[in-house]
Amino acid sequence: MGTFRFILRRVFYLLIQLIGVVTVLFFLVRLLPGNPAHALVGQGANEASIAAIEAKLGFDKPLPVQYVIYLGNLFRGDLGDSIFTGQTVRADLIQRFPATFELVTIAMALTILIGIPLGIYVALQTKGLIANIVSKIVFIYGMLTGAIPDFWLGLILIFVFFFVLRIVPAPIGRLGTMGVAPDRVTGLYIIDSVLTSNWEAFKVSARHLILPVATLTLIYMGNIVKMARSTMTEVMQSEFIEYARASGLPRAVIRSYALRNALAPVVTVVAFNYSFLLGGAVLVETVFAWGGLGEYAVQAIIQSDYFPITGFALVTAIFIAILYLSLDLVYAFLDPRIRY
Amino acid sequence: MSNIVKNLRSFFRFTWEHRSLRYGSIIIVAWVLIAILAPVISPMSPTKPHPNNILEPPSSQFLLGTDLDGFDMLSRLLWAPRIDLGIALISTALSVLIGVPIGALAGYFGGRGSVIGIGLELIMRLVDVSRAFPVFVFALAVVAVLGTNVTNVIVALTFANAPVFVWLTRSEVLGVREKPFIEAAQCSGNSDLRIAFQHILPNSLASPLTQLSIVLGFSILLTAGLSFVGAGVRVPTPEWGQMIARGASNMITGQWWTALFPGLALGSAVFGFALAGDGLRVYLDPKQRRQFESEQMLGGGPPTPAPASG
Repeated sequence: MGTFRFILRRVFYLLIQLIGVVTVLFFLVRLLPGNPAHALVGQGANEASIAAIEAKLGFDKPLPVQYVIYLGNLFRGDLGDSIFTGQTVRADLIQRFPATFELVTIAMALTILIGIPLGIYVALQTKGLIANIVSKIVFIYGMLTGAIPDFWLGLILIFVFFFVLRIVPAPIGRLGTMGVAPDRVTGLYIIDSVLTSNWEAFKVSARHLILPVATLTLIYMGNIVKMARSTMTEVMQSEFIEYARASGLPRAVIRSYALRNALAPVVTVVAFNYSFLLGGAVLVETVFAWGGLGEYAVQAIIQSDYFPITGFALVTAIFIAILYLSLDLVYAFLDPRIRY
Repeated sequence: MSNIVKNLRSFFRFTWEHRSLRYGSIIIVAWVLIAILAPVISPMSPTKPHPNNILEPPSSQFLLGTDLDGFDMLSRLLWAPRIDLGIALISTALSVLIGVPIGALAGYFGGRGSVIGIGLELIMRLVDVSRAFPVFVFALAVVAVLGTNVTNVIVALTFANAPVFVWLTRSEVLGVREKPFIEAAQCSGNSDLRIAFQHILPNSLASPLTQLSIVLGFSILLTAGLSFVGAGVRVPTPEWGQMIARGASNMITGQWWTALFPGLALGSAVFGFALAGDGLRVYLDPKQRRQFESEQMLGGGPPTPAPASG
C-alpha cells in the first residue's frame, strides 16, 4: 500500500522532470543564436531558401506555438529527420541503441563486480605491508582514472593489443568487416547469438567487445572503488560497529552488518556512473567505430546535422531519469530509514 | 593586511607539507610556465607543416616525432596548454561567478514565499533537470547548436559546470543561514542582501572552493573530448585532444607517438589538478586540516606518508 503510493509519487516526479528536460532542450535549440535552418541549407545559401526551410520547420511561428508543436511531435515520437542518414531520427536511434546499451551495460557490470569487492578489501585490510601497497596503488589508480582521457586509453590499448600483440581484432565496429550479425531478437549481439545458438557470431562479437569494454571499465571503475572504500571505512569506524565489536560478535558477522550499511551510498554512485559511462561511450564508440548512439551523435555534429544531436541528448536524459527512478526504489529497499 | 599575509603563509606551508597538494601544485605550475613560455621554448612553429617529414618517429630533429601533416609534435604539445588551460580557467571562472551567487541567493531566499524565492526555486529545478544529462552530452549539444569554435566551447563548459557550484553553494548556505550569528546580524538591522553576501557567503565557500580544482581538471578533459570528436578546437590551433584525434588512425597502423605524447601531457595536467584538489579538500576542512597538522607535529622532521584519503 505505502510502497505503491511511493512508486506513484516517484513516477509523477519523473514525468515532471522529463517535461523539464524537454523544455531545456527546446530553449537550447530555439533561443541560442545558432540557426538550424542555416545549417540545413549549408553555406552560401540565399535568404529565400533559408526562409523556406524555416517555414517548413515552423521557425517562423511565435515561440509558444513552436513549443506546443514541438511537444506534440515528441508525443508522437517524432524527433525530426536526419540529413546524413536520410531516415527519421527515431529510426536511427532505435537501430543504434542496442550497440551502446550492450557496451555500456557490460562495462558497468564489470565495474561493479570488480570495483566494489576491491574497494571493500582495501577498506578492511588496514594493516600489513601488502595491504599498505594495495591501498597506495588503489589511491593512485583512483586519481589516475579521473585524469586519463578514456578515448586516449582506448587508442593505447588498440596499439598494444591490436598492433603489437595481435590478440584482438581490428577496432572496426561490433563485428569487424567480415562478421555476420546474428538474427535480430533484442539487437544485443551477445544475447542474440546465444538465443539463436550462433556461436560464430558470439565469438566474433565477444572479441570485438574486449577492448572498448576494457577501456570503459578501467576508467569508470575508479569512482566505484573510491566510493566503496570510503563508505566502508566510514561504516567500520561508526558507533554501531564499535558496539558490535564490544559485544564480542564474530568478525564475519560484524562485516556483514557493515556491508549492508555501506551498500546504499555505493548504489548511488553506480547510478551516477552509468550516466558518466553514457557520456564516455560517445568518445570510446568513436575510437572503435562502434556504430552506436554516441558515434551517431558525433557524426551528426561533424555534418552539422541538428535533430540527431537533440534526439540523442533527449534519449540519454530519459534513460538516466528512469535509471535514477529505479535507483530510488532500490535505495528504499536497502535503507529502511527511508519512509514510503 | 597582515592577516592575509599570515593566511597565505600558512597556505604555502600547508601546500609544501601535504604531499598530494605539493606534487599537484608542481605539475600545475610547470604547465602554466610552459604555456607562458611556449614561444620561447618550443623548437619550431606549432602551425607550420613539414611536408617532407610526415609521420616521422621521434628523432633528434623532431624530438617527439611528426604527425600526419608533418607538424612537429613537441612544439604543438608545448603550445597546447595555452588553449587547454585558457579554456578551463575562463570557463571555470565564469561558472563560479554565475553559480556561486545564484546558489547563495537560492539558499538564502529559497523556501520563502516571495517572488524572488519562487524564481530561485525555478532556477533550482532547472539545475536539477540539467543533472539528467551526462555532462559531456550536454556540452556536445550546446556546441552543436552554437557552432564549433573556442568561444562556444567556453560557453558550453560554463553551462555544464555552473550547476555544480549552484548546488554546492546552496547546500552550504542552507546550513550557515540557521547559525546564531546570522540571527544576530538580522537583529542588528542588516539588509537581506548584505547578510547573504557579507555574512553567509564567505562562510559557505569551502565546498565550492574544494570543487574548483576538480572542475578545472575536468574542464580540460571536456575540452579535449569535444576537440577529439571535432566539436572543439580546430586545426591548426594546437590542442591536446585534437592532437590525439589526429593521431587516432595512426595508432592502428603503429605510429604510437602521434597520440601517446599529447595524451600523457593532457593526463598529467588533469592529474595535477586532481592531486591539488585532494589537498585542498583537507586544507579547507578545519577538522581534517587540524588532524593533518597534528600528525605533522607528532611525526616531526621529514613528512610521514600522507594518510590515504578516506
